[in-house]
Amino acid sequence: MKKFRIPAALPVLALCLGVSALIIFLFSSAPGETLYYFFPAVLSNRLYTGEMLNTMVLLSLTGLGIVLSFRAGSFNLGGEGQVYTGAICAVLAARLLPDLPGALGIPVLLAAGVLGGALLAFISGILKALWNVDDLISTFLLSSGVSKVIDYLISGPLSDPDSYLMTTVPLPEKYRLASLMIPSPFNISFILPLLLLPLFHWFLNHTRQGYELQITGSSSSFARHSGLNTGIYQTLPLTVSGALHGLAGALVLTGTYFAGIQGLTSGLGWNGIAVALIAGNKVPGLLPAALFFAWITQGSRIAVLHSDLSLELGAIIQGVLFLLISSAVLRIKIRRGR
Amino acid sequence: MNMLTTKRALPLLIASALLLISCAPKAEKTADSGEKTVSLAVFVPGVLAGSPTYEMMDEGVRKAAAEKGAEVRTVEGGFNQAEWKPQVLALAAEKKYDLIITSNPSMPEICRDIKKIYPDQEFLVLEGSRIDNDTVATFLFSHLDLSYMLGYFAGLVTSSTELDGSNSDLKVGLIAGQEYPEMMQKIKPGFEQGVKAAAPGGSVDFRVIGNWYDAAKASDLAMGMFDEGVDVILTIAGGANQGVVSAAKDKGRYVLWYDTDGYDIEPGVILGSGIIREDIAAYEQTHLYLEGKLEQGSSVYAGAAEGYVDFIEESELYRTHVPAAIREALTLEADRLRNGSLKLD
Repeated sequence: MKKFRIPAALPVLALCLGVSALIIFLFSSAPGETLYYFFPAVLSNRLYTGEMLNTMVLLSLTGLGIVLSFRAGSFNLGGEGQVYTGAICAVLAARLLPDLPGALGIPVLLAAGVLGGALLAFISGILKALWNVDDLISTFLLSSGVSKVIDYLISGPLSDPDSYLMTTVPLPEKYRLASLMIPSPFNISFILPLLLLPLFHWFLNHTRQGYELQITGSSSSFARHSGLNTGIYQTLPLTVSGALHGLAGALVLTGTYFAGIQGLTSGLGWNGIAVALIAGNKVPGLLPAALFFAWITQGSRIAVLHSDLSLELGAIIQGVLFLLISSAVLRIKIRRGR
Repeated sequence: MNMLTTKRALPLLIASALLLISCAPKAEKTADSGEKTVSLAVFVPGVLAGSPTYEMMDEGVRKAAAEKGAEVRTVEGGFNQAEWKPQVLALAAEKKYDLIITSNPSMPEICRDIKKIYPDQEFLVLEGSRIDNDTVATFLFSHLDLSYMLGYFAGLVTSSTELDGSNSDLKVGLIAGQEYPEMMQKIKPGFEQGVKAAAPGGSVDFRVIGNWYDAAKASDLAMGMFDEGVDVILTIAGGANQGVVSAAKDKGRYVLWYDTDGYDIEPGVILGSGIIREDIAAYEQTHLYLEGKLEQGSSVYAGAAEGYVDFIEESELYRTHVPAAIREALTLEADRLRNGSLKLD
């Protein structure tokens, strides 16, 4: 019998659920009702379920990006900016090419997003390969800087003069991904993780390049002395990670918001890190991990709307979970690694 | 070993899940036995604390609801604009609220979109914006009236010789959080018109921050404007307003407050303040709805003559810090708007 090993994240997840329940019991005057909205209510109607599934799709893509770079020994802390860049590149593509038919236009928009995210991460990757610039710092700083520029573009040159929101002009109907669960934004993009996750899993574990990538990730000096071209493995995985984030950004635009509205990333980049950690930095764990995180995010959102859980408390619960996951998972990893 | 614990934990998990489901709020069985209570939702695009306009709206709705025995639930949407639509959509999806009341010029476009999905959901947007063949009820305040009064006051201040902080340049400032239609089509023109009416040859230096929270940037902008000879600034920038106030305090110049009583914020620096009576509008419109008289798609446009916007003259601080000559001149002009003899367009 194949040995079944409990993922390191499982006790952490139980702890997470316990802590959120505790917070709710402490601060809610009707904890039963709040708990209901936090957990099972997510499945109570199409809107909530669809939004949750949509978030899950996006998180599994950004999570995959994090796993990939992590396996190669890079830290991509710039996910937020790469998602944002992906979205704005898709907005620009839609502006420049308004006359494509939808079936062609949507892939072009997505490709623009992929390119944008990839380019941003490539800069950090090449800096690391050439001058050993710390990718943890460079991805984060680049992303923060670029986000400000995009904020400016959205509120300035690209802004929709007819809207009171800080947003670009809405995409034409033909460039939108149709909902499969009206009125939620859940759409055909769910195919993407189903294709990409197995593909990357296969690449990492069954190809020579995947193996070399992981060697570089475990010890770059060992890899260098073994004659591997470490420069490639310091640049490309990070670039692809950025590409996946950019893809998520373009998907948020074409499938969820239909306009480049300020703040549309809503933590996709950061939460991607949490998802990757819950998944134990392994591709097969990504879908369940993304499901867990999407559920919690959606649950806290619904609870804030319909119970006496305040907006701040909802955010606090999410923050506490993020902290728990990132610290606890890392700790378990270290202990097992000894 | 680990697997064993999972197996043991499974029934526990299922049991707790069932428990949770049983916690679901009970469907209103009382509905049959008597009259159904009307349920209202107030959606705050932001947070209540520190947003007097939203507090006024909430107050007004609750006052009307209390009189008519309706239930009110207030939901805060937070500052991320991208989240507002999903949140209001979720409120509508619950099909629990007869009317969703909100306030902000950007909300009508969001509510119209949701109305396409849930046609039965009714909306009331205060401080809204109107389109032809509208599907949601809106209430619009005359920003033209209000900004004209404030502009007129700014003109009086900049041409005054009695005020220490006023220089010989006839320059006044206007700082906005972002460029939005109301700002460009109503507030800025109204303000300029007011300034020129009081101080012929006066000019308005208009600056945009780009968001509604960056007090540091607002302060930098204001400092620069004061250095270039501006002596009074009307600031409409939400949380960033504080930056303009601190800059004015440092430079010994003046600030005008826009839509809530601002005199207390920094006495002597906040020289004049307008007010938008969102509480009255919220109360009256909610009352109308509860009597079944509020029509979806209807729109009310109300200004100084109707008493929904005004310049606050009844403040002790205003009387202390503003010379009598300016106050008298302002009263004369403002009264023309209040009694309807002056109409702006």
